Amino acid sequence: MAGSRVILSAEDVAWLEQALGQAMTPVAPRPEFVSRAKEELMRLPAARPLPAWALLAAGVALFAVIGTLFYLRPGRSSLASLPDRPA
Amino acid sequence: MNALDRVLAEDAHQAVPVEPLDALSDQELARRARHERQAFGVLYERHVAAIYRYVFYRVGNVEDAEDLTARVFARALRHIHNYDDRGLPFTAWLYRIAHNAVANFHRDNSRRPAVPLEEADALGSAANEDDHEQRIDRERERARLLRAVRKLPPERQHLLVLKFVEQLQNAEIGQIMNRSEGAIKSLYHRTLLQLRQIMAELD
Repeated sequence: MAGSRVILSAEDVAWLEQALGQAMTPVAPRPEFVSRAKEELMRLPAARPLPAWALLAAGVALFAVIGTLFYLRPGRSSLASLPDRPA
Repeated sequence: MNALDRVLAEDAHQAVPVEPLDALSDQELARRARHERQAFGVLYERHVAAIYRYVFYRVGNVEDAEDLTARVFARALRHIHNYDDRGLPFTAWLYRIAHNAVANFHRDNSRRPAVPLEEADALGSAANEDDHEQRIDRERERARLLRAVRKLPPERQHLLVLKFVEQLQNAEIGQIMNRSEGAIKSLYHRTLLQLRQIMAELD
């Protein structure tokens, strides 16, 4: 089909729209489902997002831990940057 | 009426009138729903049927549609703090949650056959009709069309549900799908084209 251009005629569009209009009819949820699901929703425990200060504190703590690990990483010392001594 | 009832009735009469929740916009209800469960209840009643219809046409049977619809609203309730009204309608936010729920459902159930209950019912009841042969033919054609619809990409299925089930105009669909009216018109045309091709392949 590469290079070919498929087009829809006005009749095609009309037929498809009519068929879709007949096939896709509005359906309604069962009333017992609607009320049961609502009751369950109303019973769900409330979601309490973390306050901004808690998120900030967690971010600072994480940054501090990463910084400490970076500072204490193996091989890092004041002598590491000196050239090797001759034997 | 005893004395206490009288006092309560007078207090209620003198209280500042409170706007009923039903009268509030979706955005206002969503803001209140962060702290007030009843506000979310009103949002639920307002949108449950539309979300159910969307899910039903995406999954094809009542049981899964009910299960997923309940999950969509439970998720919406859990994340209502994240809903931010920046021109995005609340319905668009809900449809996005529903879209993700349906995508997960299809991923988890990719091997399950999807025969819409509604189609099966229609075929079964057709046997009782006088013109049952014509009716069965019509229902078969309808079933074939719905099978073709479910083979479309999710975005195009969404468009067809909004257009034919919810009967929305292109501008309204564009608002929900976060596209311009022209883009929706173009997408609709490509959707019909692809639908016709899929139906030809099903023959």
